[in-house]
Amino acid sequence: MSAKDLETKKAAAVKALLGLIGAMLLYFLVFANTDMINSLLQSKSYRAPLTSMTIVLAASFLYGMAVAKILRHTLETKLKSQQLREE
Amino acid sequence: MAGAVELPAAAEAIKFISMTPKLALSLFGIGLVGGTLSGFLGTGGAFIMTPAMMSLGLPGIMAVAANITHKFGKAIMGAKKHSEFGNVDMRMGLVMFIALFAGVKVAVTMNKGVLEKMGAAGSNLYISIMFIVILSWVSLFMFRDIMRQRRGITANEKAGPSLADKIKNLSIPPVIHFKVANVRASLWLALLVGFATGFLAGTIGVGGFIGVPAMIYLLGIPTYVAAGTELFLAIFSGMQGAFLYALNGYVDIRITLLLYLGSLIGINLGAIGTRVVRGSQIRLVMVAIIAMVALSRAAMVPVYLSDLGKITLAAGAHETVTLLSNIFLFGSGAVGVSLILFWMFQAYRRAVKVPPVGNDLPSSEIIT
Repeated sequence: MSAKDLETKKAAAVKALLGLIGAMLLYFLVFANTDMINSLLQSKSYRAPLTSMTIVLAASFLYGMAVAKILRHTLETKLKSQQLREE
Repeated sequence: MAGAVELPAAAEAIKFISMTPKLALSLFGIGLVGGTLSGFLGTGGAFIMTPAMMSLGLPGIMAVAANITHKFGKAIMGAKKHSEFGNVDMRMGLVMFIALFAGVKVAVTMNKGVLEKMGAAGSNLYISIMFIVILSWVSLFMFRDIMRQRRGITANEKAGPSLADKIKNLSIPPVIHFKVANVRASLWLALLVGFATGFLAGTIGVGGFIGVPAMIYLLGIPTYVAAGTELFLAIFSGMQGAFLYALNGYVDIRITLLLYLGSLIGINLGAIGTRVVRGSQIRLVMVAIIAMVALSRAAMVPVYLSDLGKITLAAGAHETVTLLSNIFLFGSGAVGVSLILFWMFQAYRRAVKVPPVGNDLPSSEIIT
């Protein structure tokens, strides 16, 4: 296990919280400005994929990181004794 | 994984739907099911998520666009998670990626040819028959292998080497060592698997159904590495699809974001699941799903034959057959996710009975 893989529970909790706050902010911005974003997405210009892919990357990073951190330090840790690698 | 990104030549103007709480909740659920299957199998999200969204009233093209856009980010997070577990062979993924695009191109050309010659009903029939033939063969092959393993029959005890073994043993140079998967395989064989995956993705939209079993049986890759590598491949096809659909104005970002709420939980659950169940169990879920999807397509054949004017279906039979097909389709997702969660729950119950070993560090100390 390398040093960069090491992470305390507290650090993971802080990162998860920041990720969740960031994701909530992003979701709020998107849903509060639906009309503007939809017209941009239907513009059929390069701005449409740029907008959608930026939002998708930000959402998957923020929310995905938060979920991954939470599950890693709860369910995954709990199941550590049950890990299999039979192949 | 779906590598096929085929957009209609004439893009029609589409209206974005109004978002209700019920629709938002349904999208969360669809994401959760699709994400869990993707995380566990490396494939299996698209075939259930797209029709499920269409059954909610979304136009087909928007459902496909939302799914492929969501797949882009989901595959990044899923591959990252699998990578942490040492389940992603990037060298294998990159080799397969090259052949995959060629396979998609050939399949799309063939699909177009069938569509031009036989019309929409003929094209549907062609796609369904491809589904039935390929998926039935794959599921029967995998089922037989699982049963053999259960009976404790090893490769040496078989009557002789199977076709898969014969192909696997072909060492046409150059032979590459795939470090993570810890296998040596012919470059040509890896390219063939990539091409077959792309061809199936281009034909029926779900290439992983052949890509994952082919990696397991032809290249000898461990099941969990095949799942992780398939997700790594999905990043590229997802990126291409997300870009093209957005450029044509089909992406409703709200749908994608709501899918994420469920799928990013599901994909982590599925990936964790691969750590606590046996490779044979992962294959069992895959067989169950593939067989039910093949049945779902088989049920639709009379409808397409009727559309082509080859047979006559009684009034009401069309709806009944379509309902039966949907039951098999959605049932496959329900059965798959239920099995995954059941095995994880069993592992959890076993885990709580095991006393912690060497866990003398305070809870705030290092865990991973």
